[in-house]
Amino acid sequence: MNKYFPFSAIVGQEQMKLALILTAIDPSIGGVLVFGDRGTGKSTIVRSLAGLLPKQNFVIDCSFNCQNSFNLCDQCKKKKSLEFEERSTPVIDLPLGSTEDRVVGALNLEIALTEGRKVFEPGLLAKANSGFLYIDEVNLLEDHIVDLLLDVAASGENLVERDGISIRHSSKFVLIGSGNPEEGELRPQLLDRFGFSVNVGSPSEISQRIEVIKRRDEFERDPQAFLRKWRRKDLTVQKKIIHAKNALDNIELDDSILSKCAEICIAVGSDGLRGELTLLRALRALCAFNETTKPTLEDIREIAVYTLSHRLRRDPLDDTSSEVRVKRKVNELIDDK
Amino acid sequence: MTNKIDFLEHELDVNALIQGILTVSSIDPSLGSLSIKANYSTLRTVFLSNLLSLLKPKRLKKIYPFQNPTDFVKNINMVDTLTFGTPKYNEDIFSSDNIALILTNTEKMEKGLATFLRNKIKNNSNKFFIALDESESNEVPRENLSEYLIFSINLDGTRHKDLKKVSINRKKISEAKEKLAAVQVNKKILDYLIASAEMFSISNMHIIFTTLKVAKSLCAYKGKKSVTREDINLAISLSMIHKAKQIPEFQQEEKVATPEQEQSRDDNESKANETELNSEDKKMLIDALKISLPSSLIETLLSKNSQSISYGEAAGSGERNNNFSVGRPIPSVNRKYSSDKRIDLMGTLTKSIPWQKIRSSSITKNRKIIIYPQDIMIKRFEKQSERLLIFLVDASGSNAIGRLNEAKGAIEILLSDAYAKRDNVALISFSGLKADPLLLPTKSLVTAKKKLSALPGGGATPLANGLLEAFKLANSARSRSIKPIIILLSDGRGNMSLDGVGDRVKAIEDTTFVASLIKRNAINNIFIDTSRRKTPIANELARELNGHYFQLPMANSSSISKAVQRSI
Repeated sequence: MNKYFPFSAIVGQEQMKLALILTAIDPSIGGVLVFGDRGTGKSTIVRSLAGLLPKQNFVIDCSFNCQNSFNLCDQCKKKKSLEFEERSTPVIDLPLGSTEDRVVGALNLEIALTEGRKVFEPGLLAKANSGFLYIDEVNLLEDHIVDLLLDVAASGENLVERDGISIRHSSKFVLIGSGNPEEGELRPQLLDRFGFSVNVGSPSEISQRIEVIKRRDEFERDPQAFLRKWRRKDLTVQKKIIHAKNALDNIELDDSILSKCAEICIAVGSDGLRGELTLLRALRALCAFNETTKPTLEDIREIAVYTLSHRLRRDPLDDTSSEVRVKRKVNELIDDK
Repeated sequence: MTNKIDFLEHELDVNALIQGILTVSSIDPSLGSLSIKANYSTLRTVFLSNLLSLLKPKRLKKIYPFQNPTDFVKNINMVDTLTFGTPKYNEDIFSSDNIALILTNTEKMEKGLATFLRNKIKNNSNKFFIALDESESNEVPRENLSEYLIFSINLDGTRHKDLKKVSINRKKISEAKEKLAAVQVNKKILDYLIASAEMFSISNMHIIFTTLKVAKSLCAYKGKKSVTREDINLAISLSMIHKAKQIPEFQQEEKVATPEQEQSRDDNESKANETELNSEDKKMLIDALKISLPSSLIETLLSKNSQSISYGEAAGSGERNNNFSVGRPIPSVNRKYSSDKRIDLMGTLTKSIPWQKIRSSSITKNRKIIIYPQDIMIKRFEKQSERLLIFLVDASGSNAIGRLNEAKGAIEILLSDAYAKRDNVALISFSGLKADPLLLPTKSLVTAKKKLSALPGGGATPLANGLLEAFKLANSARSRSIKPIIILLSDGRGNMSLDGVGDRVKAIEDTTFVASLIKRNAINNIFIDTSRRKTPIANELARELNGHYFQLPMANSSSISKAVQRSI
């Protein structure tokens, strides 16, 4: 049992929770960017994911998190038979100040020095394969690490050519970034990689705040009992996620919805087509989660802001919140009909 | 001992404060983190050794601001491994209990390390963090870290004779430890705590929660079962008040409200009756704080409040041009290994190969390759150093009429330039009696623009003061290896001396003096003259500054931005 605060026990922050659930349902949505002040529970929510996400089948003893027989790493290809085990979905931290070696992987020095063999020591990108990669203070991340991430996130593959090692392994992960916008901005290329962008703040109602403190206190007093108390709720959400994953293919996206999405993207002026794609994927995941078969205009209203607000071409000095602009446009277009 | 101190009764001076902090953190070991603000001095050394003699940690470890987080987790130790031929590891210091960690020069700490340590402090158990903060008054401590350090002590203005021998009551503490789990908190007390936090504009839930934990420990120490208001009040003075964004009683006139404050104010209004303390409670809390806090602390809080500066990211941190840890790789060099460097394996092997035959005769044969520490090649990386543009804006009456807006326009152009180059910017304005650091180094240009457009004009011209302020900021940026550029927008007609007297002759003398200071320290600067025609005074200043000089009517956007590029 993990000792992290349970997901369902977190008070408020519904937007961020929904965004995480939807990316868990469909990882191709492409990650969540969370901006907010310190002490709003950003990292608590991310940590709680570990207990929420459904278990997956992984090859036993594979350090690259291989999952199925048609996309195996070099080591697994050599194995005669593959054995699988159920493990929880990895949620990996990428700390600021990580070296390139740690991120992409490097020569295992211990084995190289003691046994004289060349063995690859997998990095964080291998550990995060098929899981989540969490970067706290993502806006302070070193530029050369950002470049690495962009490359891997685009190709879904990590190619290592260093220290006389040449290796290629798949690295598909959901990127979660959090940060405090006051401390600096994010490069547009990286911004675009995130499917959702949500803003979080401290709960503004006193009753909510009290509830936060109360639950935290209860958790620290007796973590086991607290986890037991909330386990069932976490499991309900987990079941819904598993169910929604299977239901994804049954969601119909008819032309009227498609054209509405396109209309919105054009109206807000989002760069490229990634906005539309993400919006559609998010809609599909939302329907699957809500157990409906067809997205409605209200679904678009609920979700468009989070998928589009960070994609606007904007003047760096313009301080009107893009969230507000997108919201206004979306409401206009939806109420139009 | 004659005058025994008891923090429960005594005014919270340095001695009582340290007693309280140690008592609380001994009862609840997850609360062991303290920031000490003081410059290096014998006083600090004495204070620290007193503190450690009470704390009695099993081990002591120093953490320096430019170390890499990987040094503190289990990692292969290269030198030992090579010497002994079997893998040796650095130990993971965070796995050992009862250790005191001294973080030195936290104001210069690398972002990565600060975040790493912050997470360790957040999930602390049984370790005591002591953060030594040597920041100047015009520097911003790393909020990122300092918000999570639970306690704080400021040694400014403390003298040797003020330090007294304090002791902590270990018997009472061990009794309190047993009672801690049973301490109750009722809803009214929670209400009170949250409303108090609201009053200090603290929205970080983590701070609020740790304050509750402090109160619980205090309650256990007193041997009571349920947390009272007094416990909360004392806990607030111990662990919350130094993080306050505003002190309610002293808010007469806020100059520029930060956007967050405005936001929270809006929120407050809608729920005014719900969230705010009723006036009686408020008064009681303030009174309680006044009794327990020494007046000097209130003063420092007050001055912090009146400055109303934005707490942006203090620009960069100890970036070196050539370094051994991050950036673009460049050829490796033969250096002594230390844990902050990384070994170029291929280079090391290549270097050792010619010696293998000679070495193999002298050492056991079962080793495949024999590498000596002197073979080690270290990887090097190059990193573009960051820049800091310090905008020094003359907001005095002589400049304000008509020209201030043009100056603002020019700055906006430079700001968008800074965005493209990802520079840090800082903003200092001067008018009336003094220079005001409106915005400390940040990369958030939106904030810079907001501050700029809200800048009012009028008053005398304390040019010398403004230049001095900019000079100080430039120097502190330099100490972090950030390249500072001062951009002065003024008509050059200072009429206030450094000590704040309206004496034109003295003012010019002082201005010339500070300008020569800037010149002698070779700080790049650009002087954008905002007067209508060229004046001898401005000419003189430009010569003294020895930087680029423009006259605003002549300077168009591209020539200014080119000048900035050139002066790098």
